[in-house]
Amino acid sequence: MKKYLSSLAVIFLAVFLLSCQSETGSSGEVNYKAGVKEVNLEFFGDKIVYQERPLNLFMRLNNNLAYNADEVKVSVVGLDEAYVELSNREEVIGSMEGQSVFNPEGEIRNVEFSGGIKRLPLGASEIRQNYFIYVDYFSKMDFNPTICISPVLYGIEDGGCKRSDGRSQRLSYSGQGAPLAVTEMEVISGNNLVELRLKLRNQGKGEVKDVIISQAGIGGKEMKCQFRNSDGESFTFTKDLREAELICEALVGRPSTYETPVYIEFLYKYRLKLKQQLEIRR
Amino acid sequence: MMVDKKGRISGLLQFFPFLLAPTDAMDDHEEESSSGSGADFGGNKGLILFILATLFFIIAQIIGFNSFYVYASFLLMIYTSVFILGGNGLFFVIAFSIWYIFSGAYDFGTLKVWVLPIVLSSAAAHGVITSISGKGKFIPQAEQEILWGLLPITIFILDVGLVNWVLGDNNYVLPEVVRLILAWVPFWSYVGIAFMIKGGERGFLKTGAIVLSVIYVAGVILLVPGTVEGSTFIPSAEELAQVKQQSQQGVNPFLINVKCAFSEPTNMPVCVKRKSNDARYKKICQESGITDKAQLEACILEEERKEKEVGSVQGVASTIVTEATEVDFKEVDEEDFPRRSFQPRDIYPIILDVENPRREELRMGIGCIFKKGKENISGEVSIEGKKEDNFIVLETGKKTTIECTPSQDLDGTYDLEYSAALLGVNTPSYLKRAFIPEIESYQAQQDLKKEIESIEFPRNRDALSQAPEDFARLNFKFGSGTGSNPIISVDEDVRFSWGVENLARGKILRINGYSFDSLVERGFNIDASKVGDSDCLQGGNLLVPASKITALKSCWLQIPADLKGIEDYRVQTFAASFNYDYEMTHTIRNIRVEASSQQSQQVQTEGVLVS
Repeated sequence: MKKYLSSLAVIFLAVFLLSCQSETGSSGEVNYKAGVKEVNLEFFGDKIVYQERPLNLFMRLNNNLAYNADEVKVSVVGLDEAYVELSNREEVIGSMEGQSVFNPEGEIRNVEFSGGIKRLPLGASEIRQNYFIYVDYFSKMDFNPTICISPVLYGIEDGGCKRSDGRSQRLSYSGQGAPLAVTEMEVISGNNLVELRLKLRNQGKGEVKDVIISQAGIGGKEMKCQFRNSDGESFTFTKDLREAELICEALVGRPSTYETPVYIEFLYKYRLKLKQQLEIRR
Repeated sequence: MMVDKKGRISGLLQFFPFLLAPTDAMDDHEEESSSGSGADFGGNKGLILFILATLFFIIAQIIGFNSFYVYASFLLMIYTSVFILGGNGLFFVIAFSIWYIFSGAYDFGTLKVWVLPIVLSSAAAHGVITSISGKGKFIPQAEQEILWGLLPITIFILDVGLVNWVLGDNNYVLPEVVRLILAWVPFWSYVGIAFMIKGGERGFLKTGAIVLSVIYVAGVILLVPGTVEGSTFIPSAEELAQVKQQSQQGVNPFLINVKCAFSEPTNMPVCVKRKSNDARYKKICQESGITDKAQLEACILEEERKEKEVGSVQGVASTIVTEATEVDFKEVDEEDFPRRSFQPRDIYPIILDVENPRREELRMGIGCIFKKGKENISGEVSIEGKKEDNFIVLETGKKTTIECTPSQDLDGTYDLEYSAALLGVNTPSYLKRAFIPEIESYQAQQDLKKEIESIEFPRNRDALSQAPEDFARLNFKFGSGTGSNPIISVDEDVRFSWGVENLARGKILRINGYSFDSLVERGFNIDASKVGDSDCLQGGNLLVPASKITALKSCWLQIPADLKGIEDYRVQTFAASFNYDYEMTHTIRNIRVEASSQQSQQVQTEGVLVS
């Protein structure tokens, strides 16, 4: 009986372990902080309404980011107040949990705007309205690759890590699980100094507003970072300016080539815009 | 037989000596006119034409343009044909004049029917007479008749304003310089000058006239654009004169240029513009009946202020309310209308076609009047057979038969004018505006403005005041600057202005009321600390001058407090209500009443019966 129970326990444990392994994929772990991700909004509201009838604008918000979104706010903007009366034009959601091992889908919230359609002017048969649904939030993005640093010029083979080319190495990235992404990094090292040149891009459908660097370090040491063509600590993206360059510098204290982790945390403000159309009929 | 025929012709020529003039003239000027032209470009005849034409023009300027100038132009046309062109084209000119006086003045469209008969008959008449008299061959003489006849007729058309009339409201297609010349240059004087030059010999008088003419036309052309306004008219002699007179709104540009050349030679363009505007304002004030000098000056200043502040408040046809109220007089079939009557008090019917798609309550007062020269005989109106002169339309469309019976016996030729006064017409206007929050970053503000423009105001018309194309509309605008920019930053001051535009061919009798309730309801208030009309948001009982667009009120508005605190942009379409009385008229020309001939026929018949 004891033997039987212990075999059952082994089988149960094996099944449990196997099931855990299948959820995390073949590599054993899902990397949520990869690729370009957005907060998604699905619209289920009215597209055609009649005068003097209620209006309902339903939508579902899903945080697909690899990070939490804070101060999430949804607004309905641009509906003509002469024809549409909304009881609330913005809905403050608060924080929404991002995708993680414990919440692989990310948090989902339903939002509803309700109101009514006013009477159309005499002689008007229909009016088309263009409007936006804005989703505003604050979030962060982590960039933490491991790089190979050589404190001396003209990388001499010293048995440490290997750099792809001479003194500098250029690395590409597909994203870090947010709309804001580091897409390129150049590592320049030598003379006990390392310089990282990062290209930061808005890869999402919305607008990245202000970006600031909250933390930056290399191998456990603090790193000094500054945006180019900006006041340094922060950067403001615009409609036409969707890329920023960040330059970070740190002193290297070791005499030989070595691998070390880099950690930079970006905080940013983001606005997702969804264009909608409403047809008001008599 | 030949002798008899020649004898008959020479008898005819005793009464019409100019008929032979072409060939006589050709004999006298063989060297000059090898082409066969009988034109005599005698310098003195050109001088006489110049003096006569200039005199007529000056008289017309002094006494005001009336049919005198048109009849004088007929005289000049015939003078040119007889004395300068040696009779060439005279038949054509006479036939054209007869057509114009008896038919063209009433319905210019009859030219389509008459143009061939006029041309062919005049060409044939000239050809036959000259070939019978043995002074030329038929075909070349007929051709000469048409070619030479076209010259004085063209000058006549240009001089009396037929070009403006034909183009009507579309006369903006003419370049400004052409419109100036058509309005201010007495063409016959220049025809005289041309013949003087062609005539050869020149004395002091002729040279002086030529120099003066060149200076005058240069003075007219140099005027900066903006003083000439076109109008649409009916081409009776009097109305043609009106075309010229109304084309001459303002002061003679030559005089303005001369004044500015002496007073402000270094600042000519500004001076000319200022003086032209002053003249225009003065005319508007005088037309509104102001005679007192102090009042006139105040009125001129007020007009100037309005134009500067209100500028041009444009409006377009609404894309929201597309259905327009329309009223048209429709003439009944020829056989149902007594265009020629033997009864002194016949019944003259017409159909009033009303389209009322918005189902407004349309109240109408109908009238009719018979006009003969200065004599006006009022008519009695019946509507659908009932003796009443007003009715209400509530349906979406209605055709109403109006009958007009003269209140006195008619005898002769009359113009019958029907009128429909539409009382209390409501034509709403709409204006869309977007309000943006105060944004520190200039770039971010520009980005937002661009986005709003592309979504809310993709076409220019989206930023303009819109109204259904009824009889008149109220155009309004507000915003920063002149108020034309549809995107308003809530931290900026807002200027508001409005005016009215006459869209149909009638006249706005009165503005009963206007209000911008949606603005007031939204919390906009007049900023009393700034200049402007205190009744710019609500009022009524206004009279409107008879111009197409009239700027009326302007003021500054305070943006409501809740709008000042917005975080995202807001859009709102504001409505204006506009209630007015409007009069439409329709004239049927040339109604002939031959009551006296019927009476004499009756007397004759009674006489026969008695005998």
